[in-house]
Amino acid sequence: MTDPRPRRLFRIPFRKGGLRHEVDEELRFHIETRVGQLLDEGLSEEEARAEARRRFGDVERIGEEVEELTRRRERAMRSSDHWDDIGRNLAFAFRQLVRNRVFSVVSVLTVALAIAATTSIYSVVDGILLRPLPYPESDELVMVWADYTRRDVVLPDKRREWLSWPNFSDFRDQVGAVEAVSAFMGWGPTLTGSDTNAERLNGGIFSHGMFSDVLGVEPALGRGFLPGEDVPDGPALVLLGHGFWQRAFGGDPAILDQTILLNDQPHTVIGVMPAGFEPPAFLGTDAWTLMQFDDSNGGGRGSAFLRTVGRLRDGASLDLARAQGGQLGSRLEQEFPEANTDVGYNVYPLHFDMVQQASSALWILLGAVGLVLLIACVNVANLLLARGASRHGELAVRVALGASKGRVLAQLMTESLLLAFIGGALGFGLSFVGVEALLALAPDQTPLIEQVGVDGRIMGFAAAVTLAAGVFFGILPALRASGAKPASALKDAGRSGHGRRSGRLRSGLVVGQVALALMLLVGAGLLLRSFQKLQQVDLGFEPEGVLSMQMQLPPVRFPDATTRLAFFEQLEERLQAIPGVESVGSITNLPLAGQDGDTNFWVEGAAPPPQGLEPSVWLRRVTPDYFDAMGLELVGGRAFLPSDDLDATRVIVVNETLERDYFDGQAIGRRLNVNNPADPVWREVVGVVRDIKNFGIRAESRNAMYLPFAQAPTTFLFTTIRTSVEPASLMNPVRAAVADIDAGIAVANMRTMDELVSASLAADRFTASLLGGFALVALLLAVVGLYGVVSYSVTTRLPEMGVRIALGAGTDGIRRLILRWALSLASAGIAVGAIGALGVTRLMEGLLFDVPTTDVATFGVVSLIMALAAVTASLVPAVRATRVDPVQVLKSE
Amino acid sequence: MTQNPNLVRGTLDLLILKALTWEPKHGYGVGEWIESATDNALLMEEGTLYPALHRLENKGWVESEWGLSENNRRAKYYRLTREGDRHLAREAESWSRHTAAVAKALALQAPGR
Repeated sequence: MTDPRPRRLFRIPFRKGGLRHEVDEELRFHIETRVGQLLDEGLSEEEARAEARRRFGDVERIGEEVEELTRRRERAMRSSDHWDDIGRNLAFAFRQLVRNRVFSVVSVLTVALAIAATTSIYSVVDGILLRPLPYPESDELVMVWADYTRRDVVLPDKRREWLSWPNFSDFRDQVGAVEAVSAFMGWGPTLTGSDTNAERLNGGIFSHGMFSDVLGVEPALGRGFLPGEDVPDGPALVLLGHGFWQRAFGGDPAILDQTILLNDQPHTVIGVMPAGFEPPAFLGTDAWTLMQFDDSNGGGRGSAFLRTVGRLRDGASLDLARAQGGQLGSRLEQEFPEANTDVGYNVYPLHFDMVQQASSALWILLGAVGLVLLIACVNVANLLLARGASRHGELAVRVALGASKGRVLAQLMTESLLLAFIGGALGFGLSFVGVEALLALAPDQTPLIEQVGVDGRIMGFAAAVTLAAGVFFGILPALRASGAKPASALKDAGRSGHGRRSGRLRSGLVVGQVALALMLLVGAGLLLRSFQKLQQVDLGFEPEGVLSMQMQLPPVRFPDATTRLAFFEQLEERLQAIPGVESVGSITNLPLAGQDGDTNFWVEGAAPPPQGLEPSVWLRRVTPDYFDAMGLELVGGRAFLPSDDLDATRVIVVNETLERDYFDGQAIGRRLNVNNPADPVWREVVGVVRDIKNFGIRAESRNAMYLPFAQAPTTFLFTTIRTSVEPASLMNPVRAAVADIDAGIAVANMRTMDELVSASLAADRFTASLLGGFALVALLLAVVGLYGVVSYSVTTRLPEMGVRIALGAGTDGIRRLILRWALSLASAGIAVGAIGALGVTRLMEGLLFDVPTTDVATFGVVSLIMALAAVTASLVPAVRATRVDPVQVLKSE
Repeated sequence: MTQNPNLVRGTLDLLILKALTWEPKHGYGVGEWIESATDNALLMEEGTLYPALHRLENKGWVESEWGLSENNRRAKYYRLTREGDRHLAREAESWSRHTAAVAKALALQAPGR
C-alpha cells in the first residue's frame, strides 16, 4: 500500500564543499598510503612524499576531473529520482483506479462524455466564430450596406439594406478608407449543351475586383477579370470554381478559352479558382461572371439590388470607413433628396456580418455545455470525497510513516489527473463523432460551417479543459484527504464516523450542482416553449401536401411575354395532368425562401407621398391558381383568372395589412400604381388575401401585393403543386414532365413546402434540441449526485438510525427524516439556481419568441421537476434507512 | 617506453574491473593489484586510476561505499556490479580474440628473410 520500492536510506549529501572534500579525502588516502609504504621501504619522510606525488601525477587536475564526474553522477541520480517519483505516483494511481473499478468506470465515463460534449460544441464555436475567414488579412474585409434606420418603414433589417448602383459606385469612388469594394448579386444560370441534363448552377455576379482586390485570391488556372471588361456589352466571361470544374469538365485544363452555354448564351471560360478556395457563401461556389454596369444601365438611386463587400485600406479603421461613409451619405441626401432622403451607409466587419445571427445561440450553447461539464466535475469530486473518506485510514498510515502532506497531496492529485486524462482522451476521441453529429444536425444555411472540424487547436482546447477539470474536481478532495490527522484517523480506523466536515462539503457541492442544473433546465424550458410557439404560428397558408420547384428560362430563347407565358401555361397544364396533383400555381418567389427586393407604390386619390418616401411593398407575380395551390385564403373579391392578361384591365391583389393601412379596409375596386413614378400604370384591386409569413415565422406582417403573371411575365418562377398523395412521391413524374416539354430547362430546389417551413425553423430547432439535451444530462447528473450524497449519508448514519428505531421511531418518521433532508438540499439548490437563471436567461432574449425570459410557468414547472427528481433520487436510500436492524447496528458499534 | 593512451584507457578499465572480481577494493588496492598482476609492465601515473574508477561508476559497472581500510582509515571501496561483471566477461573475450589475432599476425615471417 505504500511505495513498492524501499527508499534509498543514505544519500551522499549534495554540497559543493562536501563534494570536493570527499574527492580530496579519497585521493589523500591513496597518497598517504603510498607514503607509508615508501617510508617502510626506508625512504626519508621528504623523499617519500616527493616520490608518492611523482607517482600519482597532477593531484589538482585529477581532483577536478573526479569532482566533475561525481557531480554529473549526482545530477543524473536526482533527476531519475524525480521521474521515479512521478512514475511511482502514476503506477500507484493506476493500480488504485483498477482496484476501484466501479468508481473508475463511472468517473471516467462522466468526464469523457462531458469533455466530448464540450469539445464538440467548442469545435463549432471555434470554426464559425473564432477562426478568421480563410482570406489574406481577413480582418480588413467589410460589408457595406444602405442604412434605412431613419426611415419609417417596416423592413427585415433596416441597418442592412441593399445598395443601388449609383450609391454603390459613389461609395467605391469617394470613400478613401476602403481600398477596394465590389458589389454582387446572386446568379443561378442554367448550364446546357453537355451530355447530361440541364443543370442550374450556384454562382454570383460581381463588379470588378471581388476576388483579386477584395478577397485577395487569384485563379489557379487562367486569369481573372480584367479592368475594362466590366462595361455594358463587354465580353461574356465566366470564372469557374474548382469543384464545379472537376464535376462538370473532369478537371480538364483545355476548357480554358472555350465557350460554355449558360442560359443558352456562350460564355468564355477565362480561369479556374484554386482548390480549397471557399468564397463567402453568398457568392455561390460554381461559377462567377462580371457585372457590366455603368450609369447608363445600372438603374436609378432608388433601385437597390446590390450587396457589397470591401477591404479596408492598410491601417484604416472601421470607424474611419463609417465616418467617411456617413459624410458621403449626407452629401448624397442633399444632392438626391428624391431617392436618398434618410438613407445612409453602414459598414460592418465581414466576419461579424456573416455570423452575427448564429453567434448568440452558439455562445449560449457553449456556456450551457460548460455548465454540464461543471456539474459532471462536481459529481466526480463528490465520488472522490466519498472515496477519500473510505481511504482515510490508508492515508493516515502513510502520514504516520513519514510521508509529507505534500507527497500525499501529489499522490492524490496524480490520481485525479490520471482519471481526468483517461476520460479526456476518451472524450476527445468521442468528439469526432460529436462534431459529425452536430454538423448533421446544424441548419443548412449555417455560415462558415465548412470551417468546423477537429484538429490540433481543438485537441489543445480539450487538453486544457481536461487539465482544468482534473484540477477542479481533484483539488478539494485531495486537500481534504491529505489533511488527515494520523492520531484521530488511526483511532477510528475501521469506523466511518468522521464524515461531519466532509458531509457538509459534499452537501454544499450538491446544492451547487442542483442550482446549475436548474439554470440549464430553465434555459432549455424557455427555448422549448418558444419553439413550440413558433411551430404554432399561423403561416397564413397551408404547407402540407405541397411540392415546390424553381425554374429559370434562358432569356435568349424566351425573349418576350408571349413565349414565357406559353411555357408556363403549358407546364402547369402538363403538371395538372399528373395523377395525384390537385392544383398547380406559380409565383416569382416563395414565402420563407429568402429576401428579395422591395418596390414602391402609391394609392390613387390619396395625397402623394413625398418623393423618395413612397411606402415599400413586397411584390410577387402569380399565376391564377397559385392562391388555391398554396391554400392562401381569399378574404375578399376574386383571385386572378386566365383572362387577366395583357389585353385586359391591369389588376392586382393585395393583402389584409395593405388594405387596412392604405384603403381603410375597403380596397376592392380602388386603384394603385406600382413603382412607375413617371408614367403611372393604375391597377385595380380585385381581391384581398390573408397576410402570410413571407420573411420567416418571426417576422411581422408587411404590405404585400400580387400581380397576375400574365400581365408582367418574367423568366423565372417557383411552381407549387398541391397533391392528394405524398408530395415527395411526385418528384420524378414532375421532373419528367418538365424535361418532356423542354430538356434545356433545369429544375432546381425541388422541395416540399413542409421542408421549407421546417428549414426556416432549423436554427431554432438546433438550439432548442441541443440545450434540451444538455439540460436533461444536467438533470441526470444532479440526480446521481444527490443520490450519492443521500445514500452515503444514510450509510454513515446507520447507527443513528438503528438507535432511533430502537427508541421507537416509526419507519415513516425515518423515511420522512431522510426525504426532508434531501428535499432541503434540493430546495436550496433550486432557490440558488432560480436566482442564477434570472440573471442568465436575459442573454437569451434574442432567441426567444413570444416567451418572456422570466416566464413564471417555465420557472415553476422546472423547479417542480427538479424537486420531484430529488425526491425520487432519495427514495431508495430512505427506504434502506428504515430497514436497519437495530440489534445488528448496536452490536457492531 | 611510449604509451598509447587509447590502448591504456581501454586496458585500464578492463584491469580495474578484473581487480574487483575478487573483492571490493579501494583505489590504492586496485593499483597494487594491477602492478603485481602485470609484473609492473604497465607504467602509468597512479592518479589516472581515479577518473577511470569514477567513470566506471557513472556507467554503473562499479559502485562505491565508504569503509575502513586495513590501517583503520576512511577509504572509498569499489565493488563490481552485476552489469560490470557482464561487461568484463564480454570485453575480456573480445580482448583475447583481438590480441591473439594481432599476435598471430606479428608472428608471420616474410619469405626470404
